[in-house]
Amino acid sequence: MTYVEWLRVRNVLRVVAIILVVFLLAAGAFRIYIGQYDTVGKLISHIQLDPGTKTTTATLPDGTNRTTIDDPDGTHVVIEDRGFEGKTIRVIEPTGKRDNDLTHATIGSVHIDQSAKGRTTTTIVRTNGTTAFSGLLRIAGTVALIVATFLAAPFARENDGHLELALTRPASRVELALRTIGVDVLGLWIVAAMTIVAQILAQLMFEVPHYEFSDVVWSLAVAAIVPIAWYSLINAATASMKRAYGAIQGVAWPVAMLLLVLSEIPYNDSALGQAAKAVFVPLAYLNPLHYAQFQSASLAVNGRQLVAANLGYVNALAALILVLVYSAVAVLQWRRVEA
Amino acid sequence: MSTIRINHLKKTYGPFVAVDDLSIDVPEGSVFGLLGPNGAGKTTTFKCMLGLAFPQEGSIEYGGRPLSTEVLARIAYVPEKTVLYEWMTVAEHVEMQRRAYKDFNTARARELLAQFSIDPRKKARNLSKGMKTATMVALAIARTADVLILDEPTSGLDPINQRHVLNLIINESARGATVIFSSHQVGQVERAAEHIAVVDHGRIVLQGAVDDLKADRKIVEGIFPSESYSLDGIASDGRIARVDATGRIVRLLATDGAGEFVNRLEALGASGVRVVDLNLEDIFLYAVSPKEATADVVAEGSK
Repeated sequence: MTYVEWLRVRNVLRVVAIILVVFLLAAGAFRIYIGQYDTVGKLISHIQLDPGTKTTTATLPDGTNRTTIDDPDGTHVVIEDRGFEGKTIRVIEPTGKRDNDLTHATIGSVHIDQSAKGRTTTTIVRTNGTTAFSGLLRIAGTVALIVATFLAAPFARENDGHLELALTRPASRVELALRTIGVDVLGLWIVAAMTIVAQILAQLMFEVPHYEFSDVVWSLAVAAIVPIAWYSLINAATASMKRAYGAIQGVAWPVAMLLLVLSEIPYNDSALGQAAKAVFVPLAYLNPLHYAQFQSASLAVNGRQLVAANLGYVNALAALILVLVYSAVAVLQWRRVEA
Repeated sequence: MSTIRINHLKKTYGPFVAVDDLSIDVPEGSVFGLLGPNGAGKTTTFKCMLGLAFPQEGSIEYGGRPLSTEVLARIAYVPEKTVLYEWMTVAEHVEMQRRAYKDFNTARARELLAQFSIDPRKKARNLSKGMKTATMVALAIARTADVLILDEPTSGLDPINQRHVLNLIINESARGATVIFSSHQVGQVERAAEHIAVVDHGRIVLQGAVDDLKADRKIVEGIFPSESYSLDGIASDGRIARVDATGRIVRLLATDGAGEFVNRLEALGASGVRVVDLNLEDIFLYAVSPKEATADVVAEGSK
């Protein structure tokens, strides 16, 4: 059964790999596309070629190489090159010279800000800034969550006409169940790792990444555990089903999202409002998606911090508890399933 | 692993009693046929034997030991329904078995698949019903298990492959394996099995060595001069398992003492009285036919 589950995981990994390759191809195409519209670089080259352009260079005390370009049309460009730390390009030009109405954009670690004041437009381009690695983990965790939905009915799949093969193995049902779960968990982590690698490769098409690793430990924990908790919930809900488990997988996301929304509504003090709050708020704590939060936060009431640790760790711990509880529920059910 | 012993097995599904007080002894190294009409409880019995269903009462022992992972490691099973993974190739099923069982003989599995003309590269969904059955049989035989439990192992197979499966069963028994199998085709059971049990409505209605059952059971047939005759207590004799009467013809199923009933029928005026040997199909049909029908026939014929 472990082998069968591995084949299932392998098929899912193939699909994920195809989707990620398509994503990388799209990123590559986008890279080629925006390469044609390197407007700032083209502008600078164009300015330097203009007759009467003045270019001066200087090295600042911190080692930054500063290049200043002035052309007779009134365009003023300052390029500060800090080597591995990146470049800052500041372009001040008469308004209307360029038809780009961009005000702010971020592509990977490239941040572009444009503002108009009076008769001049200022464009500031900062390259090779830092990229939060936790952002990559957030996307990887989300992809793993989606894939977990597809993998999350391994026992029901066996119940659907394969128990005679699965349960006549020379191993206890608990051992078979745990091995199956283990294979799926490994598969989900491989999916997350593939997604991270794909993101890095996509970023490499644009620049050499410069990652910032603050919050990475708890983000990694949340990204690794919450998809498993989601998988475990659906597994527990389908473990004794022989058919129609696909319906559970199909409605899991809408129902979980709806319950999350219902738990966040600021209910009024009416009896109905309080009753709804009493139902939906506790339910949220049983919902793994509730813990899929990647922003840094701490639990505090009236300014007093209740939890010393970052809430990210608390989320990861809560998700881990759900993994254990839901997995136990699933295995206990499956122990009693009959062919 | 020696004798398989099933003691007073009972399995219910809600109000429905699937198996009721079923007891069987399967001698070591024998081929044991389990016969019965659809829904008689054969598959449920097999499932209980393998831990796939949990009986309410009774016990199952393999060589005196209850079912355990160690015992399961020595049992090969072919279920009645196709349980192959439709999306997997036959070769992947072989690999699955190789990984699951230490004693699995991959070369033997490939050889058997070739004998059944099954392409290992094919996905299970592309196999016919018979080919799926043959694949399951090949995977089971390649286990070189001590016990083979085969639920309808010839289902969907053409006559040539049915014969081949029967030969495989006999070979496995010759190797020393204990084989218990069910089939709707009584002729197949008669060819392969040394012992049989007939199950009806969850209960054993007949059990024993095939040769003994055939030797003991005889039909005594006679023709009365008119449709109005009396059997003079013959029908209630404990050795008469069944009485069929059609017009002037009466047929007695005697479990013992056929010669005595020949004399008694002749004394009652019947002519052309003779003893007919039974084949296993007759024995099976007599065992599972409704008793009420017999009584009606007797009542009508005895007017």
